[in-house]
Amino acid sequence: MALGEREQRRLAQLGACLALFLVVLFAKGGDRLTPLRQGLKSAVQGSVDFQAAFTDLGWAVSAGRPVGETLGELWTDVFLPQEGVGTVQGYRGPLYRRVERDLGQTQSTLAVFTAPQVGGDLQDPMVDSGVKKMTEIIEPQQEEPVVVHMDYTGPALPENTTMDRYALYLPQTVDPVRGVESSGFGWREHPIEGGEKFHFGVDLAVDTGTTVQAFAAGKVDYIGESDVYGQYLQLDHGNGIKSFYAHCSKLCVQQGQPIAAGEKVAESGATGDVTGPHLHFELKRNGVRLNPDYYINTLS
Amino acid sequence: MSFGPVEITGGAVFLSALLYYFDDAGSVPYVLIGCLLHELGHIGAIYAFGGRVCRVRLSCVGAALTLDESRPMSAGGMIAVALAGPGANLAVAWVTANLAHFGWGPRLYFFAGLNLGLALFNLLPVYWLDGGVILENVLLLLLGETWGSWGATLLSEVMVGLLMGGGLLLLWSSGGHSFTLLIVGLWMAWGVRQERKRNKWG
Repeated sequence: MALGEREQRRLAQLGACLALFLVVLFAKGGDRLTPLRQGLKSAVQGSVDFQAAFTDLGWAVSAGRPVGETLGELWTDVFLPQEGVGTVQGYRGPLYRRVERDLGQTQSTLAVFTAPQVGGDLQDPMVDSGVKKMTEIIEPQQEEPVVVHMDYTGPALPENTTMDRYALYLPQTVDPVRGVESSGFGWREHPIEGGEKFHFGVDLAVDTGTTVQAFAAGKVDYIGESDVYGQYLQLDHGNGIKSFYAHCSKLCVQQGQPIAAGEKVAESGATGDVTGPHLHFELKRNGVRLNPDYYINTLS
Repeated sequence: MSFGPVEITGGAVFLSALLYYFDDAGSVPYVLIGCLLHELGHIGAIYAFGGRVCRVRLSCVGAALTLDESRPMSAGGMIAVALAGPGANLAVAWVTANLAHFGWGPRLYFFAGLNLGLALFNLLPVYWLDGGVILENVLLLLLGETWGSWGATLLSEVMVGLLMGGGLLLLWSSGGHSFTLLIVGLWMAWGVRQERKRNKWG
């Protein structure tokens, strides 16, 4: 059966595409094309972690945060990513890749990277919660490691959360409030909705009207109000570090305003879904939620 | 290659291969399910408004549904059908975000965000996207066939131009790091050239 010119051209195109498909299908598992693949991916994608960006978006919808504000963040995450700053670079972001290249290893648990010493932002790790300090892989000379891997033994963590203790490299940190920690970072029985839910921050029990101080210097990323979080705000401290404060009775800052460490940013309260007055405090590093217990002092 | 009314182009195979190749996080199945739900939203609305799908074409710019011309639809019906795809994604985003909130699994957060992103992306007023179909039919209703079609094409070209211009600006201002918007703009431009036909949804 003779094929026409158009059919022959189509057949050749299809054959080329199928051949290419088979090449990448089988090459993906091998090592020989890995550098090329990573290079191409980096060129196309830059430092954007799309999965983290969309997960953040879904989480924001779920949490009842304003969609317009959330989409603004998505725009920034996807189209204006910056090396070392942003919310969506994830645990395999630029820092990880640089560490991986420098150390010539591939396991994230070994990703220890030294940087200029800036003290004051690391506290003793949390206790009695399934987390204990593991080996610091490299002992830097008078420099602290980027990450200390914590041997977490509890249920699997949600995406964009970690029990590892990262150095924040902030010049000064301040406890936002001094209160008893009524609920820690991790899986818990939800006090209102019931069922096992992950708590992305810590709850610090303080009276309504207590001054909420900025965790560190930076600027106001956004302020807002929702049914879940009540009145809330987020501060951007640079280096990809952000802190989030919720259930406030009063917000004392405006979006974009520069903030000094320890400056009053809000008054605590009981707005949103709460059982009593407290401050809900979260810490994020490149979009990954950290355990605030490592970085603040609480009353026992 | 064709399977009955479904045609899969070489471009679709190539795009699938590329996505699979660069997908370290296992996101592609979620993207495909989101796209499938989007198209099912369109198809459901087409049949609800008395139309019929006679052909489905999967290409490098997405899926295109060709309507049976013997069962023409009104401009209002076309707008409703175009809205149905993003509407399906928005509904799925809302449901899965709430399921995720009640502890049904963290991957659902990603799926919810992805569906919201798909819905909003498809509402961009570019000719081959749902937003372009809506824009064209609204302008047809307001300005008549000649000016409406001309206006929709012009606005679509302007939108693509803005995306590409913005992409170039971002690439320049980021010191050559941010290619994403430029790639989206080029993809839009390619799609406009390839899919400039009536009665199709992507």
